[in-house]
Amino acid sequence: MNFDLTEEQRMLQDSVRRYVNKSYSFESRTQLVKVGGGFSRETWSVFAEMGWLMAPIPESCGGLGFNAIETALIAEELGRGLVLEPYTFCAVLPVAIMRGCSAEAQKEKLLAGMGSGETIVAVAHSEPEARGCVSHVSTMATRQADGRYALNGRKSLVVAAPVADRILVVARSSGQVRDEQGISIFLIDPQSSGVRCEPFRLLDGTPAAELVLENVVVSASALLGEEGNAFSGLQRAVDEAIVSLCAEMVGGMEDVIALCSEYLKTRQQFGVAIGTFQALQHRMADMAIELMQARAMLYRGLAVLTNPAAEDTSRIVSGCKALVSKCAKFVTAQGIQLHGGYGITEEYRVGHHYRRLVLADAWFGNLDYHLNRYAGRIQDEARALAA
Amino acid sequence: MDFIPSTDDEQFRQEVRSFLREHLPSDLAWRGQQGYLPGKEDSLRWTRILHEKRGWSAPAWPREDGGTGWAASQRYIFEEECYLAGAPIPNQAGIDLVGPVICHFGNTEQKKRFLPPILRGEVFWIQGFSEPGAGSDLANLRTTAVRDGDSYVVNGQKIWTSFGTQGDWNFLLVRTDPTAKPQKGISFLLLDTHTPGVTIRPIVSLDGCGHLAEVFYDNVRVPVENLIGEENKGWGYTKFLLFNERALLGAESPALKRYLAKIRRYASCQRAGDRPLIEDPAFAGRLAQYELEVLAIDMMVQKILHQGVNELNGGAAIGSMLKVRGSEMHQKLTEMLVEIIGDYGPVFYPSPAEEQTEHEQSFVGPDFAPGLAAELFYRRACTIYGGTAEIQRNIIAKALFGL
Ligand SMILES: Cc1cc2nc3c(=O)[nH]c(=O)nc-3n(C[C@H](O)[C@H](O)[C@H](O)COP(=O)(O)OP(=O)(O)OC[C@H]3O[C@@H](n4cnc5c(N)ncnc54)[C@H](O)[C@@H]3O)c2cc1C
Repeated sequence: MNFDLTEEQRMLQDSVRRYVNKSYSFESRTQLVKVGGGFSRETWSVFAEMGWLMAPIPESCGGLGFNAIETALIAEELGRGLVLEPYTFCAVLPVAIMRGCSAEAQKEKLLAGMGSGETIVAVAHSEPEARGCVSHVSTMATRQADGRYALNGRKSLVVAAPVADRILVVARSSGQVRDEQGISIFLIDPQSSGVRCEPFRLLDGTPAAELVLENVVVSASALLGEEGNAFSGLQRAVDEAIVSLCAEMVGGMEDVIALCSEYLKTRQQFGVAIGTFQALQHRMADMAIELMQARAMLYRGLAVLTNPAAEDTSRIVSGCKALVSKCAKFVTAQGIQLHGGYGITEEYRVGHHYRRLVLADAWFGNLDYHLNRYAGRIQDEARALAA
Repeated sequence: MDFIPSTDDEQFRQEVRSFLREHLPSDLAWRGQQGYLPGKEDSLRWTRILHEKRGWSAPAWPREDGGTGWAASQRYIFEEECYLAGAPIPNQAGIDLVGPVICHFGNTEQKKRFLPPILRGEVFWIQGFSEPGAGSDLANLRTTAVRDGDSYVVNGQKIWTSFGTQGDWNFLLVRTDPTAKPQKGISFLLLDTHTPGVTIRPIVSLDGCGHLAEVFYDNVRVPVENLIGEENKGWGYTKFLLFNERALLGAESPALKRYLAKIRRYASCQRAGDRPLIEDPAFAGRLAQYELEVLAIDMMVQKILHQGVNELNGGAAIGSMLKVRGSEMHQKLTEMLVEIIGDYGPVFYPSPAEEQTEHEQSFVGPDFAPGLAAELFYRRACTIYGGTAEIQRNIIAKALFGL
């Protein structure tokens, strides 16, 4: 096992870090939320120019063909910098869906547009009662006599929907609400008639929406791959997105710890730097331990995603999300605590990482859901042993 | 010891309930059930109602100053029922903090002048203790007051003043003797925020609300009759006030019970797949653990209320102990409330304007979703305000073990 970054990986990491440090100041981020709608197309184009949007796209489709390790390196730096443009949701996730679910011919054009930053694609996968369960799809896709499909249903928490040019909608063409069989994915234009976008902001200012689909009629060519067979490709894509999100959290934790370490040395109370209080020294040590655990677990997630022979990948990814978000919750909350009053202000950077954590915990199912899913793996193994 | 609730208490609870049913306006209750902190108008309006209908606006004050004369257990029941019904939190800086200080240490003139407007819900008070350089180390405060004729001239800055931009009156700690030891040269002043030289700047906090503020004092003249007690004795009055804040209010346990009630209610109607969330064993197990913690806190609070704080029941440490565990529970329960709404947890719901009613808002998700995230962010501060969790632990270790 080699844990050292290659020269190329290191350069990639440096390029993101340099960009964030130089061009994505906290002040400009604040402005982006206040007056820029929380998303900048210009920034997205920079991501494209830097090649980050090309990273997950296969070489056969004109991309760089990188795997989850490289996208995690990018995501980690973006997480450290509290970057708002949703790389995980509009690059990692939709590209993985295209890779896993669509036919060759469909990929080329859309992926080219995504790689160049011209086409922003959002993914409408979740529903209010899904709570992380990828196969929970009640939105219906009904095939009409003319071969076209009519989509009906409600998709919740569609990140970046208000700024998206295209949306990948997960719908059910057959089967029961939580069946893995019968799930299909459609590429739709959000301007199509019958699509109602109820926009809102996320807690960090990112634009998002709930999509209500009322008899949205799409042609058969809007269907990715085969009808009803999208589940495994979708689950895999969600797994990749979850690991990318974990990388963002790890980057965020590192920033929190760096901010605290600095603050403890400069903030004075009782005539001394607060870092001289042993209670706070131990807290910092605990935060470092949580970060270590989270990074190690991120590696496990990446290891399983990049190993073609891995089994039960998805439930291991669940374990990864459960542990990383537990660690991130502690570190980001303590980041606020150690800053006292400053920690809870908008004007100060540290609290925004906690806010991100609240989002990250909710996305793709929360800690309870993923722990329980990982527990299922233990139970299955124990049953197999007993049998 | 018998653990039998007195029938008087139960009767009293019924009385409070029927009062709330009759007199708590539904728009106040609706806003109160959401997680947003009430603004000045809501708080004062509720105080006015309490005062006019029953004289219940400051239950804990001495009777002769306008209090109710209720036993501690009755005050607790009252507070609990108000919370559960969604009544807005009254102006705590006025009713719970400066009010009792004036009752105990103010002179007759001051009592006559300041207490009735608080009781009647006419003025909104704000607390000016913390400064940029004096948070945990409050005694390090630098805002000065220099005697000049029959006024003090105040210069300096306060920060983290809750509801600062809405304040009519400000009680504050100032340094009147710069040569004395830190705790010895502090005085307790009452100041009209409309006095020339006072500038108030809001601080936006993570919950998206601007209820905190910085207050700047530039040659502000405060009449000497607004000094509480004696000059340079302010630290003693402050300790009295902080002790009240901690021992009686620190755990905010009625709020904890309200969270539990909400969690049960919301988790019964929010679904995960084919069942209500409350049926999920992992969720229910965690809720059980939280509920037990709260029940324990509640029992201890009742004990303290009946006995008062004394050496046998934890002395100076008990308020801090309840505050530490209570504030942790506030944070866990508000996190759980946000988790309950699943995909709507990440949604930013702007706080409704005052006077807004439930029919004027449109938003995605269940109707109880707005306010939950704001409350979660606000509660991150409860291990910071009123003395941080670390400072409380220092107090506990010292008070119990002399460490
Ligand atoms: C929402 C909110 C409302 C508030 N409302 C008011 C108000 O109305 N009026 C008012 O006057 N103030 C108010 N405050 C201020 C509050 O009392 C202070 O924030 C608090 O005392 C902590 O001070 P600080 O923020 O300067 O943090 P600091 O004292 O700088 O603390 C920073 C960190 O160091 C730790 N620390 C400090 N000293 C020690 C030690 N000896 N041992 C171990 N750890 C230590 C702290 O625990 C904390 O983790 C409010 C604060 C908040 C967040």
